[in-house]
Amino acid sequence: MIRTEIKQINDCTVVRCLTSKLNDEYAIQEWGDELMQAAKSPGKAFVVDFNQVMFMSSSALRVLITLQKTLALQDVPLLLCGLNDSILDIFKITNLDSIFKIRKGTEEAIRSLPYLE
Amino acid sequence: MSQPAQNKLKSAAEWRCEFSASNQTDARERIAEQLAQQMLLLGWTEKDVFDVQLAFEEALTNAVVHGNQSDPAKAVHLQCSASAEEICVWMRDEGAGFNPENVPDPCHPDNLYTPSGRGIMLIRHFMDKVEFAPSGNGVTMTKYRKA
Repeated sequence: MIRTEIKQINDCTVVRCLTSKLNDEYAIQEWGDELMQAAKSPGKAFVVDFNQVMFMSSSALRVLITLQKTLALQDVPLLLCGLNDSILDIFKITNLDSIFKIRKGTEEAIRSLPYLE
Repeated sequence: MSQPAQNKLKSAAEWRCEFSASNQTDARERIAEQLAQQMLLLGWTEKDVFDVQLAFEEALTNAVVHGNQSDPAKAVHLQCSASAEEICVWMRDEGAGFNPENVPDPCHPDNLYTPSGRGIMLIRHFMDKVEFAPSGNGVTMTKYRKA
């Protein structure tokens, strides 16, 4: 099971992932279902904070891509933050850093949203 | 059915393990976590451990989910060895096999939004030598210590 904390901040959905390893296929599928449920009422933006996450397999990337596509249909931006260097490498190796908005932390992610300007 | 891990510490500088698992949790707990501990004892860096763990997880997912189609009656067979110079992981599933050359390039712009297909690319990136069995249902992955 992947533990998450979901909050609404400044009309954004902010999901903090509290499990350190995202590597179990079935737990990741359940986590994906939880994110997709939250994406039904996302607010003006959707932020996923990986500050507590030390390890991520490509199964988690699959969930994030599906989430990105779902939110794009609602014209809601998805921002990822708190990625450690090793996980950030995975995004760069797979070129996924070109399709995701990646920020250092949750506050920076929320501050970067155009509707707050 | 899971079998007990057969761990053999041949010497202080070498570790070997063989195990057959029907699910990811068994394989992870009996092999991957021990392999990570042994790598650290043998002086490998945290980054090296991350690289090998990622390749292990990707190969394991391919074996259990794609190879064995998540059939609990089928097993994944694993062998690992660790020394100060190299790490070797051998894995075989009981599925029909696949041709890794037929997996589309996930970095191609047309495939960036395709949810799956990145595991093999990550294995090849993080390990130094990757050989797929001609039968298509096995892989041998090796990482060498950088000088």
